[in-house]
Amino acid sequence: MKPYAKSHSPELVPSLSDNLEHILTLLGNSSDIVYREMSLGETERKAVAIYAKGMVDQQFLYSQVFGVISRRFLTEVEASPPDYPQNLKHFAQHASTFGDISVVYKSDQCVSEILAGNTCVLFDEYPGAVIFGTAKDKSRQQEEPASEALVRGPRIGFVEEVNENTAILRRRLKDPHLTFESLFLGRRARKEVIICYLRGVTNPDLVNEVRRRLQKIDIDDPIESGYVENYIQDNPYSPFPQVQNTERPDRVEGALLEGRVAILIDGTPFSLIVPVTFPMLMQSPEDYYDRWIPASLIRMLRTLALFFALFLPALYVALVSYHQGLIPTKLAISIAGTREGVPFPTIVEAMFMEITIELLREAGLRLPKPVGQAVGIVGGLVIGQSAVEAGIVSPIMVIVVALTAISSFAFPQYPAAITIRLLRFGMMLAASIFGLYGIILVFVLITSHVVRLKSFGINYAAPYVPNRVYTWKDLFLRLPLQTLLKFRPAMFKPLDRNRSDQSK
Amino acid sequence: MSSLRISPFSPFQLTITTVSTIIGVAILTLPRVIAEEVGTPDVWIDVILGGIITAVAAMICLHLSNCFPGETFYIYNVRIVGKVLGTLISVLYICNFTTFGAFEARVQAEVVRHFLLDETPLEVTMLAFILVGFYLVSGGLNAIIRINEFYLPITLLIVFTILFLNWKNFEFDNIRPFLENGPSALLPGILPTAQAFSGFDVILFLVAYTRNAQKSTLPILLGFALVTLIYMTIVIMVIGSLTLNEVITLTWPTMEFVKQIEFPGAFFEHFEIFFITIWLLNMFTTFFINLYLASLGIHLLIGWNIKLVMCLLLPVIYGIALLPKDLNGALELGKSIGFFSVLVSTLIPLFLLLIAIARNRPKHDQPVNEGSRP
Repeated sequence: MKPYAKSHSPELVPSLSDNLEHILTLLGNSSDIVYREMSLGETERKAVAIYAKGMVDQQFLYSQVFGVISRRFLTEVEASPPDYPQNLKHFAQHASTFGDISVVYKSDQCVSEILAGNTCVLFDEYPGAVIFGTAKDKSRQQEEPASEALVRGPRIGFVEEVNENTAILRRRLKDPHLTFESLFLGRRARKEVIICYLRGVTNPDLVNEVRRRLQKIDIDDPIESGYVENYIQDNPYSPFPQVQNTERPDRVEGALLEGRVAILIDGTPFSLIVPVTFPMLMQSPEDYYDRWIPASLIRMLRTLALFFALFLPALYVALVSYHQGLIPTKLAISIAGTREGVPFPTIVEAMFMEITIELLREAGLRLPKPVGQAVGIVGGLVIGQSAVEAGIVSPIMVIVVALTAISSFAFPQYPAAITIRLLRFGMMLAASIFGLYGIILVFVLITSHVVRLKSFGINYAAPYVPNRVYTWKDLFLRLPLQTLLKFRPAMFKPLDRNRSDQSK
Repeated sequence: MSSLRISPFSPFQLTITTVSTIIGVAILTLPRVIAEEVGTPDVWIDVILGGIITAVAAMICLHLSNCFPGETFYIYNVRIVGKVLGTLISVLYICNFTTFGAFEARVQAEVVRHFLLDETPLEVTMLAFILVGFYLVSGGLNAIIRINEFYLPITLLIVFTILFLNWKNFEFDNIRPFLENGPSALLPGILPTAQAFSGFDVILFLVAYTRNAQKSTLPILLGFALVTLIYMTIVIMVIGSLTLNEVITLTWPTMEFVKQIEFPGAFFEHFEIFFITIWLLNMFTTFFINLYLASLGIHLLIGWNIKLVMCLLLPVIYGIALLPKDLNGALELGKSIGFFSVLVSTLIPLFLLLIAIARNRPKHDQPVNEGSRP
């Protein structure tokens, strides 16, 4: 059933009862829809206001709309009774003190306006409806996004209201080239989706591709931007996220200036940015707010975190089970000492601890915040301590697992961390079968996958691959902004590459 | 051709692919192979000579391919020497790539057994290697080129770090005397070093897909300089720290050299983990391109789908890789393949180029020069 998909809906007729009945069949008998009948002054004529309870500004509705209709309307219309319909239209267009008022002539338009929170008033003998913009602006306070906290940076995050979000962006980037392109998604929900880019900077092919993929989506309701992300990504079977999501307007702003495209979706504070590559997912906006030396050190630290999060437990398993000769002798002796009495092979031990850590993380996430922290502490300390004391795992294993977990929490973007945690289990299994060789094989498999993967036509490993030395200045290092901000990254093929005056 | 979907790449990427293809088995064995042939500590001169000779051969390949812009060697050789001989040459190259790929799979399995997994059967490691290789190669030529770009910086970083860390063991006396038996004594070493550079003939096939292929001369020469530098430093450092007599007795002298590193206070006392990793990565890059070019040749000759050809080639490669009885057999196979490959990749392009010039084929990079002459 397609409720509002009819292209030709009946026009409104000059009969109040017929119009009312028609709208009633379209809307159904919902308890939140209010039909309020009014008489127009002392005439026989009647008017009916229809609105959705809770979505309209009640005070505004009572003091302004109803007042105007029953008082001013009377005088205006009564002055020239023969041309009643013309007068009504004239009233709606000129005489009203409302800013947001319009006249519609189709019943399905009425219905969508009512569902958007506006008030629709039907009049006797008038083949149209007057729409009063009474929608209540009900956005929450803008808060700092909890999922992407920064030490330094704007304390503002997107909200659920898409118009509020476009306003936030417009306020931050007062460029006339900032373009918002709106389209509606979802057969039933009709959610507003806004494609956002800088005209004259972003490559039009990229914008067209984004639009094409969005228009191809056919679902009843995109509840969250994750739905849209799933439909527009290049390879749905890849473990890697190919679309970036963020709550931070400053991140979106930076992406727009690089020549990328943002997608804002009504009903969620998470906006999407395309294209994205893996090295970008390892970056935080704060890298650019800090001075370049600490920022570069933090970048290198994150590269180390990536290495630990992906390889550490697998390396431990491989070295202890296969290549004891490759460990320094003293360390090998102490590992052997701590492993004494542990009844399981290293891989079982490692899997046990890794799964425990993942469980703790998941449990801490789902519980209310104060309880979650308690679970983390109790779980981490108690289980770790007692598992060692009970002789199920060796203390070094606990160190390895803890270091791995901390490393994976150091990722600035949550989806990238999940991917790496997932791949880590594959690494560990391969290490338990083939040792170091298994780790290399899985590494080759992962890199093969990464170089085959693309996000909206951009290589997923860019700017590491294809490598140009001049793109590396914003990769493992973050050189001074003066050297970085001369040009936009070439990989997005922007129309305007210059970010500064090149003549200087 | 449309089923291949190759997007053009830059001369820089062509160079990286050539370099990655060249660097392979030789990095581990070169010091021994060359020391066996020559027997004096000044063998590093041979490396330079080998580098220069193969660079000239590579220039011939490049020039020949530039005479036929947009066409790969499998196609244009028919236009030079006719259908029968051209097909024969193509088959020769396909066999060369297939056996070379098989050799790579075998040698890496031998090394893995020797240094990492002494109980896992060779058959298993070879199968894993070939299957992992197939996953990437099925992604096409551009994926291969990107993965070469991915691995080369890691390779360079680790190779030079390891060479640097070993400076303490280096004794200058070990690489003297210089030209003890006269320059002619060095001659037998040139062929084995030239073998270490084999693989540069990928240029013949890749130039067709290169943007501004005429500008590849300098990048390719720099690439050869880089490989020569790596080989030369390795030979000098290995012989300089292990002495010539010891190098001759070792199967994998570079590995023993890496094992010597002692870096006080470091967590890893054993740097061969890193070295074996990058060496395996480079075995993969060589294997990728060999498998791809063999499949490409069959695809262009018979017209079967290239992924199907790859699938059919896998058991063939596996079978050839299983042929040698032991490590020595495998290394002998490598020696004969290397000899054959050097011969094929230097002589055939040279003859083809001469024939092409003699027949006065249209040249796209020269008419401007000739026309400007009064």
